[in-house]
Amino acid sequence: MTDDWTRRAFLGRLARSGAAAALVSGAAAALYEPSTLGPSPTPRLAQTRDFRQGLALEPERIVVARVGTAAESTRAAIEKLGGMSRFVRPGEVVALKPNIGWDRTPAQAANTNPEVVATLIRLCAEAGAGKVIVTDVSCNEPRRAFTRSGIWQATEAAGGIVMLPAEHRFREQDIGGRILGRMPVLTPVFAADRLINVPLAKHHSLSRFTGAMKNLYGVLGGRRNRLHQRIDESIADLADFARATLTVMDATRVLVRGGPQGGSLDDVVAVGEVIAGVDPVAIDAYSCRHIGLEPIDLPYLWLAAARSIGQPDLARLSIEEIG
Amino acid sequence: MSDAPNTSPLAKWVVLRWARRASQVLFLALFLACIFLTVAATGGGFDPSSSQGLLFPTEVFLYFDPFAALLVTLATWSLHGALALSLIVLVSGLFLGRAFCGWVCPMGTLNHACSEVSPGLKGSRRIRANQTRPYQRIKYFILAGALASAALGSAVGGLLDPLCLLTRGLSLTILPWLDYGTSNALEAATTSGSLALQHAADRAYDAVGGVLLYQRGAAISGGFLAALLFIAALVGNRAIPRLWCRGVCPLGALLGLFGRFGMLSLRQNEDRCTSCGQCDLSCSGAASPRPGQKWQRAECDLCLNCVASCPEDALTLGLAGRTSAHCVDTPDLGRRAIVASVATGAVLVPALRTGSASSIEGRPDPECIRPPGALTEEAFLSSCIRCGQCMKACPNGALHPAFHEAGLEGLWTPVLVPRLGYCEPSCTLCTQVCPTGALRPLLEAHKTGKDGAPMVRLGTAFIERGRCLPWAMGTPCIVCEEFCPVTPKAITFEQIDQVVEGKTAALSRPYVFPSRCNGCGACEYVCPVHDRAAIRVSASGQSRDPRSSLLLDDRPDKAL
Repeated sequence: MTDDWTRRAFLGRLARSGAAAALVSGAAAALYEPSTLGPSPTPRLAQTRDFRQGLALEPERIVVARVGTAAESTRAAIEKLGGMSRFVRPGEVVALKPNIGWDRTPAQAANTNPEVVATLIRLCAEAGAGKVIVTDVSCNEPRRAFTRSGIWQATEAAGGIVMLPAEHRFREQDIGGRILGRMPVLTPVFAADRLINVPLAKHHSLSRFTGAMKNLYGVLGGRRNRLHQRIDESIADLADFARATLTVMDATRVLVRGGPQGGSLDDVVAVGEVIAGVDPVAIDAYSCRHIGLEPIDLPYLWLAAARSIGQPDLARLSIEEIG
Repeated sequence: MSDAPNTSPLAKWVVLRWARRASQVLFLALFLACIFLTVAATGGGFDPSSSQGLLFPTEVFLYFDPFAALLVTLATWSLHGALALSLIVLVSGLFLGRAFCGWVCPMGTLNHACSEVSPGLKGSRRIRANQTRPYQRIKYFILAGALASAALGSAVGGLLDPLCLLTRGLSLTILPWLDYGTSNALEAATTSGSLALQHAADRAYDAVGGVLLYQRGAAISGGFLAALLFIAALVGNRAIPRLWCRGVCPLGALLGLFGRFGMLSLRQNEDRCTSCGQCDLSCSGAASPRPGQKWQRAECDLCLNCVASCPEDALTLGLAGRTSAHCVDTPDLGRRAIVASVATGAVLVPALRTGSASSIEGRPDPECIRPPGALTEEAFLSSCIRCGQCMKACPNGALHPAFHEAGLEGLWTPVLVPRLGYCEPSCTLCTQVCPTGALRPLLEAHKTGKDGAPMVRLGTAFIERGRCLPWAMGTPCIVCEEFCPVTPKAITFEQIDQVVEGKTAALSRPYVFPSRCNGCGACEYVCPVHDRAAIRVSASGQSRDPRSSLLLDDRPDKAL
């Protein structure tokens, strides 16, 4: 038996098996984590995002424009607010967040009017924006929603960039709200310098009215179907989490019933307004009247007011109408 | 494995063999393009009204499949639409035999590639594997059985059609795998911390995501099982080259039989033959090309390997009705075996239908929810060739291969699984790609019930109150109502104030209006009760079958 062993072979084998043992133990040591009692602690790192930094803004003003086409009204409203250069500085990346939730055509008034989106892209470009991206987390299949809403086509024609809500474009983040904790959020929005919220005014079965504040649901991924259980609080949480630079509400045509998805042209009323301002709460307070509601009917406006997110009291706002 | 040619006739065959390879690559590429492009036309180039269609008819290969056409024609006693194009292949078979198998068929090409590139067998073992053997008769028995089943009204034989097998295999297996890998690679690139990688991934997604990724994720219920047959067919090439084509393929069998009066024949010159075995080594059909053996016309797929590899110029392919006694025109199958095959195929139909749950004979399975435009179950099973085109086309990933839902006979036919995806009212893609009319072509108006068209219903939604948050748990929700895409909504709610532990909660409790519900499954898809939804669609009330109507008001003659 000893014939088979030389000292050299023995030492060689010893060295190799020793190296293997060291490697395995080293890896185990590096990966070892002691088991702890109870749930693993998750650090709370709320990252609210204020897209208004460095800008001198007048949140009490809202402008209501009713001049001809959707594009003309949009342009007039922004001009009245002082022009896009008040909100966007040269070279900045701007994210537009229209409502592109549904596989519906523009006439069905379930998604933001593509003309409003295209006009805003052009205004941003004129103000010298480096890049304008258009994004949303659709409820229906996103490629169809982006196409059928007409927003994909309008964005490309106006020189904007369509950013589909692909899985890899989400990052889990702590919303830091009273209801909302860790949720996947759309990274292109939070990587941008400025955020322009471009909702449309329409009926919503649960929150009654969906406009600027509710539109921010569309920066979230994951299981947002649970948010409906505390819808008013979660809408307020989101408005607190992401403060858009500017809100431009499309009320060119308004879905007054069967929202938020609509489908029947009988439920659509032509209003012909574009409403712009800094304060989403004020804009929602103004716009909800298009579907026959008053600010007092919408609890989330007052939750937001209590958190100093905005002003739902129309008497305290300066509402400037054009046309 | 071909020796360098040194005489001119050999050079001619070598060139022709390259032409055959080019043809195989071309058709395989076309087929893959069709599979990948079976997606809705979406993007900035499309205005909202034009996003209904596909870029081109991606199901085109199946129109040229005479086996599928024969199955459906026998089962329904009508030759459906563009399936008439398959006559071109069938008639070409009269002159060229199984040239389709060797030059065109993409499944044949994949098998060919698996047998030739890094082959599992070499040398004498491969020569042995390439001898004509009795197992090659099995495909004729399968053909006979499938046609007998079809004559009794079941297109179940489509399970073994090579083009269906490949479409299914790619759509339900390979593409989901690719999707999984691509999604994870994108995720890894995004979280890598490298900005360059992140940008590259983002750009790659925008460039190819539309064709490479399933938009709603690639979960295919039962996809793995549906894949096994496809994978087995490919792995079989390790043991016997082109095992599937030689032993199983009923389309090959059909073309082989049709090639009986083929114009091209192999001429074998025994005087020149040195029995070197090159022809046997390279024969892809196991057709006995060697001089001295009887050339099997029905097994030869005209791959030209034998004539292009014969160093002695002992083999040529030329125009000739029949060469001599050296040729077998039709395989000797034996009358008893054929009768047995036909009988088996015939008995299979009642066996499958009585031996398991089946919507035929009024024993419906609640989960047998068919795609829009589906014919009544019996007619559907007569027309559906289980190709899987509809499942690939569905932009919501809602259609899946049935395992148990449609009974044994309905294996791998399409069913809607609302928990994984719902049927979008504006979409009619599945009905556009169905090559056999098992799904009737629909317009958007048929699905929405607008413009006076009767609404197509897939089933009806039922609320399980014990699992519903407002009904059972005093918690507001009503997501189902929000997502319900029909107008007026098929889900409505009653607002009540419920006292829970002394606190009053304002709740909206959902109800379903069965006369408005189209069974699309959007409510089940979004229900926040994560595993078994609190609102679920079952096939009751489906418009294709008046027998399943729920309401007295729904007169059968009003149903579509």
